[in-house]
Amino acid sequence: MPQVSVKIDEAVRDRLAAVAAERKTSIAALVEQLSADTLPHAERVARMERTRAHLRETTGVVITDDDVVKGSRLLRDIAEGRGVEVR
Amino acid sequence: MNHLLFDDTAILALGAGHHLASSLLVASRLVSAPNVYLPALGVAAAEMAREGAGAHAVALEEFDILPADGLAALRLATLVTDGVAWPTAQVIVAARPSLEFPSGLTVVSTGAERYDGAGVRVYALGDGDSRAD
Repeated sequence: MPQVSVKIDEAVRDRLAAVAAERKTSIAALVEQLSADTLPHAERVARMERTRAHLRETTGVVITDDDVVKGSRLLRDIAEGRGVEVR
Repeated sequence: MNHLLFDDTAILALGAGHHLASSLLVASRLVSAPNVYLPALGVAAAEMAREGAGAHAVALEEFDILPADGLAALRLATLVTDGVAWPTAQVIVAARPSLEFPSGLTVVSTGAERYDGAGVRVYALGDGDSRAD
């Protein structure tokens, strides 16, 4: 695949270089990984639908759109520490 | 971002159709959501407890499997020597702050009490087929 150059701020480059060094990888490999972890919205929706269908087929559980909204809210709450205990 | 770690009890609950666990998983890729990880030993423990439960979780693309290798294996050995069960030990090691996860991982479990004294963050799922509300 052809390679291209991207212009970014020096500070951003330095931060990426520091993270890449910690992970014993290159900046290019790190950016590739970050890109793979950042899915476009349409792809996220498609993955969500596949999971919803899979769970319905395998366990019989039905997750409605309303459940997804509530699940998203709960994920944010957990990420911000609400309802989470330190044991 | 506090990423999530489903332990073997959460894996079993998911395989049994736990509504809240299922809702969390389905929602996890929709928003700017946390990653959801499975500990390798938790998959094994769930599969041993109920055949097919571990395989069911592994087949879900939302999950990333966390291995127990290198430094993690050594830390795990210390906990197991102190009497902690293997799958729980891996979860504790993975949930504590590390180079890869500086703020640690939040454990999702229906058996939160097993982490008492471990100093890790736990979200208690509850045993029942609770709704996500």
